[in-house]
Amino acid sequence: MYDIDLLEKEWRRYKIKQTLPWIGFIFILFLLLLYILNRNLIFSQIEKFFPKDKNISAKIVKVDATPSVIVKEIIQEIKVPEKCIEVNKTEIIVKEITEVEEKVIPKIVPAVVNDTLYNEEIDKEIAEEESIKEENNSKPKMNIEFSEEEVDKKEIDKPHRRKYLNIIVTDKDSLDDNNKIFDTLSIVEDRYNKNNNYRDALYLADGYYEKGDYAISQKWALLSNSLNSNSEDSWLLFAKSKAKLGDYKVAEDILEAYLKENSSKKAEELLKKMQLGKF
Amino acid sequence: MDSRYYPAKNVFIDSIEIDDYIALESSIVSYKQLQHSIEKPLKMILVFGRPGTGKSILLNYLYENFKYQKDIHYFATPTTNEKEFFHKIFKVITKKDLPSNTQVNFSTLVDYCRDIQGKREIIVLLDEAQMYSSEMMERIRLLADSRSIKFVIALHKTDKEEDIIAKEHFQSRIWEVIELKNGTIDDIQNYVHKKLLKKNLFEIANNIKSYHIGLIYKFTKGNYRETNKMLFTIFEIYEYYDLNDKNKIDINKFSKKIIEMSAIKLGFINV
Repeated sequence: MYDIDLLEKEWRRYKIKQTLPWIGFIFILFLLLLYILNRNLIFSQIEKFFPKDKNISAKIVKVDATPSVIVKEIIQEIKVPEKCIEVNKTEIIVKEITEVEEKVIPKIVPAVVNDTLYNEEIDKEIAEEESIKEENNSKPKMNIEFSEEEVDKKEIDKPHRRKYLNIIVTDKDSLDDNNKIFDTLSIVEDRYNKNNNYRDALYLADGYYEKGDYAISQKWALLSNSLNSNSEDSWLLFAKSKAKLGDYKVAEDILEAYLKENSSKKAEELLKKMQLGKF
Repeated sequence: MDSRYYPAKNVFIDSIEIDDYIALESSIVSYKQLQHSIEKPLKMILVFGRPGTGKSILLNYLYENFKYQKDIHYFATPTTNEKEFFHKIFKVITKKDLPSNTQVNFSTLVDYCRDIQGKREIIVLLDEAQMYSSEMMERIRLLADSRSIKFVIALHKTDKEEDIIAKEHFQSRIWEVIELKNGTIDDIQNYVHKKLLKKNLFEIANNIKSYHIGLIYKFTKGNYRETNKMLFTIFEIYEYYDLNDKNKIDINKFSKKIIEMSAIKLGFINV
């Protein structure tokens, strides 16, 4: 007679070996089924953790216009996956930006035109801006002349109504479909022509610098600086644009002049880079 | 006390006893073909097939059926010793025993065979003919040429034997070839059921369904000897459980597990 216990053990081993491929097959089938059924959910989860950078970014800006000084504040640069932001001049409406965390949202100005709190806040900012502007008049400005365009002071002083940006978020696809690709820079440029806001000028300087239009960038940086000489960014952008145009000497001089009056790490680093030839 | 599976186990002991012969459709065809062949004036008839296809039992069945009607002789065990083999042939032809210290003069034997041509018709059934040397086979051929002895040669179908058969001088003398093959699933089902029913084991036979036969067939490929071995092992395992651990078997159901255990035991499944 055989050793039945041993035979039983071997039989169990055989059954396990026989069953394993089926378990694997069923498991794969289950995963596949799960994937098919929850495809959308899985993708949305993946996108939540690893948002796709489609290089579509927009600056949500808060704009207020007063008779003399225009306040524009870059609140937050938000990367909006597969979305695009449309800017309109009448009001600010933020739609479908669900991904933006709560911490960021408080800085975004509510899109209610008659919000008294908001108006008060803006008024305060305007007052601060005006006092800064007065101080600026006593401080040294860039000693570089730019003949192409002069700032129309009269237009700056000209009172005009409060204006808001209307930011409408739409699908990239729908934009493509309707050929609604717009040029933010030209919109901001139009607005600058109306209100001569130094922040708009700075924004344009930055935008053109990013685009590689250094000549135009230096123009806007200069304009921005003429409106607010305390703006460090205008100094840096001007210097950077000059350097990019090959005028390193002027760029370094500008930075040195700025550093005489102000202490700025950014400016120091930039100057150092330029002096070392690493810029 | 014996287990109820003990007689079932013994049904499948591999033997060539006439009582164990199961007349399947395919085997009946082979038998009739063989029977028809020995009636014809042929010198040599070849029965060949893979081991376990039923050659030996076919020869034995033929012998048992005709032993009182014809001058028929069955050499079940091959005699590799030439002297001993011709002593046997001598006895078949002359019906006399030779003293053990004497040797048969082959040419005299051939002459004697020629003398009795037309007077007697001797049939010699040689099983396991692949065991005979080619020299002995050549002498068998010479005896067959005398036309007084008809040889039915059963041999295994292997590449080596096929070479022997292929020899022209040998092939020309073989007038009838009967090939036995492994059984089909239906053959195996009939074979198993008929074997059990022959011993009145109805309940067990009823429990073995087509599914079980299919599984057995998968392992044995329809070879009768392997099927016998497998069923013997299956009932031996059943017998063990019946005597030692009854809870592990269901007497109303044939167990797939035990078929597989038996396949493992016989090496059909490599764990």
